[in-house]
Amino acid sequence: MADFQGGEWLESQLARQLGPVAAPDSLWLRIHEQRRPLRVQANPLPSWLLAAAVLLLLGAGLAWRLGATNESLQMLANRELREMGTGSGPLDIRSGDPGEIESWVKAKLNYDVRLADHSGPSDQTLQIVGARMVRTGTSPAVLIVYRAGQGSAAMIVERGRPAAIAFGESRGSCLLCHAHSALLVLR
Amino acid sequence: MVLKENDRELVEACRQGEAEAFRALFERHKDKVYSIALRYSGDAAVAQDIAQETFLKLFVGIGSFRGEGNFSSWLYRLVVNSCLDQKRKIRRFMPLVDEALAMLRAPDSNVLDEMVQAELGEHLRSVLAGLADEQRILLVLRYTQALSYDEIAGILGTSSGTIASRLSRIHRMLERRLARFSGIRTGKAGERG
Repeated sequence: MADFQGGEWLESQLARQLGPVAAPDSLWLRIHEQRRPLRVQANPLPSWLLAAAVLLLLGAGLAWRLGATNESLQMLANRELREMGTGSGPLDIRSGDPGEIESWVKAKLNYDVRLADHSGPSDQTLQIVGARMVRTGTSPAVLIVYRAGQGSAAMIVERGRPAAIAFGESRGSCLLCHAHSALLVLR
Repeated sequence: MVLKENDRELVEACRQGEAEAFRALFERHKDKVYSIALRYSGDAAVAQDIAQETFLKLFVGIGSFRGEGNFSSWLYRLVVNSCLDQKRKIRRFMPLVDEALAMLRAPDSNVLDEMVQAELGEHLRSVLAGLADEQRILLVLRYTQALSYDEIAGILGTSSGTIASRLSRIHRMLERRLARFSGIRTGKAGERG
């Protein structure tokens, strides 16, 4: 019979049973696929903190920009309409043909915009009257004037703005697009 | 191809962003990390989780390793912490028990021996499962990596005297718990390689 209570026996058994083993080949793949991009820094900031800060800045900047843009364009459209009274004010081009206005906009701002054709007999609520050049800050823009029922409506088309709100397929920018636009000013 | 002579050079290469250095460092230490994880948890899936977490910590935090200390000690601390942090602790040592049963089974064992060995296996399982996490990690560092008391003390942040004392207590407890199996024949077991 062995001396089961001997310390040496116990140690040898523990060493034998707790001995080293080989890591599975799949271990590197697990690590490689899931590890984050390495950024060696002396005192790295938590990534969530950086992400939150960036999002906050972007959000604040975007909100400020949109707010300023909408407000300035809204004020501009209102002012232009007031100056034109009921739509009979000075226009650089007077035409009810959307295609002609589109060409004029192309010539003045060098980009394409598509305007809906409301000249049909079934759609008399919104009729193009004409357009003229205006300025939004330092940028040239076009004010397109509509007759909307008994009143007037204005749409400002500015170069370099996001795609058309209502028409969607415009390659230029259309900040105020008919009755769908929040920036359309009706009087 | 990374031709670094030692951990220090590999660590420095990692700090410079050399992707191959990470792989080389992993290859050099993967068995060590996985062995500790497996012997601690007793479960291959959990061990892979622990090893993965350890290497992720290593890669992300390698910039903070100052290089003044021993890299292995730093790595041991990482894996020990990963073990102790492991939330899905499986308080069993199944591989240990299975291997113990196989080892203790002598070729000329009879049915009575097998019954005793099976009982020993069950008892061993319960004894090891009942150890505190700190006791288990202590056994693993001692018997999986054959670390000295001083090395273990450095990793666990205590004195070698404390390590010796704790191991002695664990030994006495194990001997006491396993004393009634003193009739098991063990001579053959020692021949296993």
